[in-house]
Amino acid sequence: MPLIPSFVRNVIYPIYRGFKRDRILAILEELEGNQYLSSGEIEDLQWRRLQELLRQVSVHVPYYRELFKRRGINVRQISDMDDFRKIPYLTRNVIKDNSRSLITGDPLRNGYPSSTGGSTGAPLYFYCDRAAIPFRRANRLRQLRIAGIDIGTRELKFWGVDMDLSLKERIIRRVRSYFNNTRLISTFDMSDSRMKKYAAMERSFKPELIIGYPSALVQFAGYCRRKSINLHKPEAVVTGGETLYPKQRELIEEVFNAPIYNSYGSREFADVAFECQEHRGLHIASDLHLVELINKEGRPARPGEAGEIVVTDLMNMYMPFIRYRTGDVAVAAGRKCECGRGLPLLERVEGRSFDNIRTPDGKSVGGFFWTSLSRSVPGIRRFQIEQKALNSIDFRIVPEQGWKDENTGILRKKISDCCGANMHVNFLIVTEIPLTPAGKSKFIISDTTDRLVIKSKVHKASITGTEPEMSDCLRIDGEIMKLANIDQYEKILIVDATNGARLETFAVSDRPGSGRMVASGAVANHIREGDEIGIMAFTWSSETGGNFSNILVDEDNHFVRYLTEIEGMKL
Amino acid sequence: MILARGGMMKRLVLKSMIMNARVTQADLRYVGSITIDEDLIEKADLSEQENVLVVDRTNGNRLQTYVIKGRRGSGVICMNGAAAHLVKEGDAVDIMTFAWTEDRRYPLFIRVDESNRFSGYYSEDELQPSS
Repeated sequence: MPLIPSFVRNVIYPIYRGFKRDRILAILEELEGNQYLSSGEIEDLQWRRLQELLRQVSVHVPYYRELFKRRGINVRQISDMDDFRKIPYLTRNVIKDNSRSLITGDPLRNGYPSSTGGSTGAPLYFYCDRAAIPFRRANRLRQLRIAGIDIGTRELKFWGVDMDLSLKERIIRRVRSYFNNTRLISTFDMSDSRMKKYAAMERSFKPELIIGYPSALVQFAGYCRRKSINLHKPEAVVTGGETLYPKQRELIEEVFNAPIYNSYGSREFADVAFECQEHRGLHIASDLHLVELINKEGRPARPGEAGEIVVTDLMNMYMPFIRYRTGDVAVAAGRKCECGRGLPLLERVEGRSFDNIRTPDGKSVGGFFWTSLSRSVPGIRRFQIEQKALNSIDFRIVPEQGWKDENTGILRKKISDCCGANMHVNFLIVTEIPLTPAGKSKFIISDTTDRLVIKSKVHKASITGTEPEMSDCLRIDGEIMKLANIDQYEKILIVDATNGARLETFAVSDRPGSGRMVASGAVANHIREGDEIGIMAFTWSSETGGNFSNILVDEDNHFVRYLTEIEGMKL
Repeated sequence: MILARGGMMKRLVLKSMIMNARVTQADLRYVGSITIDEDLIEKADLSEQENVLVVDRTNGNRLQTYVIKGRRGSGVICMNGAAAHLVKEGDAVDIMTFAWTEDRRYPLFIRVDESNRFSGYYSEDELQPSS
């Protein structure tokens, strides 16, 4: 039985908050005030928080302490965005490699573990700051209140629930949901028989708010329309977690007969941006996050231009996310919103940069083409396109009544018209399309094949000696190995600039700071004392184009600086 | 209709190959690796930092290095640094890259003109010896 919203709002919720002593309501008041500040005032607030964050991490977080030292970055001298952009991006790989040294040493800070849902491959494990929780919750409430939804309203939530939770956590979640007046629906079971039950539940529970992934809501809405079920009309539908396409928006708004408030967020940051009642673009919660949009050339995107969303979480001091590359793409707005809020706008979030299929002709074919393609022939219930290579895709189809195998000919023709004749299409008829571990549905999967990429390079090292009688290897000053991110026994490629020799062997650490670089064993047949060499090490990775450990050393093999190689560079 | 795949073993297979390109610069005094016209990088599904095997058709030398982006449309194929010992300006080279995969691959064979501009993909038939 649903609770009375005002009872939840005025009795249960304040008592619970008082019990938790987390100040959410006070913070909510602050955030709601922030949104109507002028854009200059919000930037000032954001900048103050950023400086505090940078000061904290430069003292307490080993990874940043060392990085700033090596790069000669003094956080007190960071006075504008140009200075700030000198801090290298944080990527998933950096987090994986430095998960320990990214955690603060400040004993006053508390964190809790979290992970991404793994929509993009392996989940990423990280920590959130406990002190940031009330800000995140308050931010969510601010967003809901913009949609006209207050604390305690009846909420029906389609989410990838319960999969990674223990029984105890599930029970806690159910109890908490009950007292929050929330009902949960698992997107992992969206069979017709379950959806019949969900529809009945929606009609009896009468939610004022529906929350869900676009794909799950589309499935549910599609079912209700097919079965001509009249749903209870909620006040608002809030979508998030996946890209919302215009066709999906139309269908969901039509079936629920309510406006959609789209949002953008992630497990790492919770809610980053959200729609207001104007439904034209998404407001960035810039009092809690600093969002940069970085275009293909690596520069800030101009209004109307698309760029990768790079987020700095101003509240997570436990395991800081500074200039974190999300892999999501948005279009910059560069205009003020009619609603009067000073929070800056994203024109739209285009989804993950890999929500597109790339073609050999250099085109990028987005979700819109594939959804209309799937409707161009009868009998496709669900589908998924997976890019296997630049010139090859798998097209998985869950057929329904009306499907004919001859349809593939029509689809092939249309794909060839759009993607070029060089695109190979493999049709696969399947009974279901698995969800991601977070219960989301992805109908475009990009090519995630790893590439062999350079991850370490040492320029202009000098061979200090040879030891032909020893085991084959290159002995390297341990300090240089650390700076170049080369591990003990890691395979390396040595290139000799003196005589042109190139050979593969492995690295062995010598005394840090000694400046030693010794060609050992058979290596000494090709590489002689006094030779100038380069050292490379490669890794298999799906991440490319970022910074790698590329260092220049002097004639004594001591670190000089990091390099970014560009065309036609001379040292 | 379901495409038979060659078992679940991962193999290192050819992903793409830029064929018969001209080396536009090879200078020891500059910083190394291989600079490739960004347009060719895209056509060959390469990415910055990716490992490539360069084989010199003129003198038979073979070497591995990694990719740096060159100005789009410039036709640049430049091998500076230590590699300049093995590859000279004007040499004809093939540039290959491999993928570690269990899927069937259709490698991209990139045809370039005498100024290293993309002039299409070879079909697999074109590359078979005529019998």
